[in-house]
Amino acid sequence: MVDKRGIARRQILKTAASLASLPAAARADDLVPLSMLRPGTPMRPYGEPSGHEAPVKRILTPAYPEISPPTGSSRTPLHQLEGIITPSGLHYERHHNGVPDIDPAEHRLLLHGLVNRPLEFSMEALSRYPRVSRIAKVEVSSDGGRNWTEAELPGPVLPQCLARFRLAWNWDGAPALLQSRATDEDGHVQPTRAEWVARFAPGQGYHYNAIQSWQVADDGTVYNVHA
Amino acid sequence: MTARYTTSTPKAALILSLLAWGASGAAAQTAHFGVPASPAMIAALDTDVSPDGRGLPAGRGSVQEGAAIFAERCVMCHGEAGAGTPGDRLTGGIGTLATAKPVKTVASYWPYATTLFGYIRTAMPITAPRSLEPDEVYALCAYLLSIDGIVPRNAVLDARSLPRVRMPNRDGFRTVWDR
Repeated sequence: MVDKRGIARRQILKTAASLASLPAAARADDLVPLSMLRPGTPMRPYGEPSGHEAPVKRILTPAYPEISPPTGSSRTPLHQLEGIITPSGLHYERHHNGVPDIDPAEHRLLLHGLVNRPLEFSMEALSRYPRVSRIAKVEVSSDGGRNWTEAELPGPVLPQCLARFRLAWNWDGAPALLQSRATDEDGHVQPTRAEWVARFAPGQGYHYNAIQSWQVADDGTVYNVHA
Repeated sequence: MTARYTTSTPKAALILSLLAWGASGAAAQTAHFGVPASPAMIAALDTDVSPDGRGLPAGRGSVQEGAAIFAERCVMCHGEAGAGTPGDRLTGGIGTLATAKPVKTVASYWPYATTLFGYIRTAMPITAPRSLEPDEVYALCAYLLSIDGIVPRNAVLDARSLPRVRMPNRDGFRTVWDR
């Protein structure tokens, strides 16, 4: 924390003091870092890392450097990080032919396929939708989905978050299947696995959100299962 | 992908204390701020091709035409006859998947020929994606598949014939949804 000027001065003072065998009264500002003795740099409209952090960089691994420089990955320098927080500029990224340059003013979202009305959305239109979606109700079935009992939501129930639920259930010791389904505040209910597979699975497996099922074995072991 | 939990008090009242994740399924009535999408916009962007051939456009191309396009647009990355470097290897390797040194190529690994059309159409050439016409893409599929004898040297592929091509590794995959 001491700049070169400070070290040099202190060394000179120390040498002088030992030569003279006299106590030297160092001036306070010789012991204070230079950064505390002058104004800092001006404010910046957007934060950037300190210049002293310059060596902390992502490791770029282009997959095809000769033919497609923007394809590959930029990897977090984990060995240079302190603690658990990854600075936003150092997150791992995988690139397939580069970062698209998309102007939000020109961007359109096209919704078509399994919909009644194909629609086109501007960013302005999208921003008018409420951005809150939270779980309103969780129900549990122990008879394969014929009957459902509403569970308690002890909270907190936060927007776009997992929600903890609780239900007392008397287990008779026999193998059992428990299922839970959630309803959001707009009335959307999680589909059954069969409904989800029929509608979305052909050709892909993303965004699986069918009801959850747990198999309770006769020894009390609980497995997360597909049912 | 099976998570396992063990209770410490079997044959006792079990308290479910679990997590529910966001729901969506049955449609609810929500305001729509979008505008009807034009058929032209849908046609321009709806270019995905399903394994069974749904989404394939009109057009056709031969092995011979494909060889000429490959020499002009593809060979500098994928090498002679698709043998690779500096870009990915596309041909050969059939029968190597279960060996100590599997060679994963379009020919040896991909289960559907239709995916080849969809991939070339939207992603290749890498410096000019979506620049090839459907006829050219059909021709490239025909040429690439002919190199390993998956289609004959006189093959002409189109929306009817491409989905009928049987890839060598067609039965090498298992869908997770069958379980």
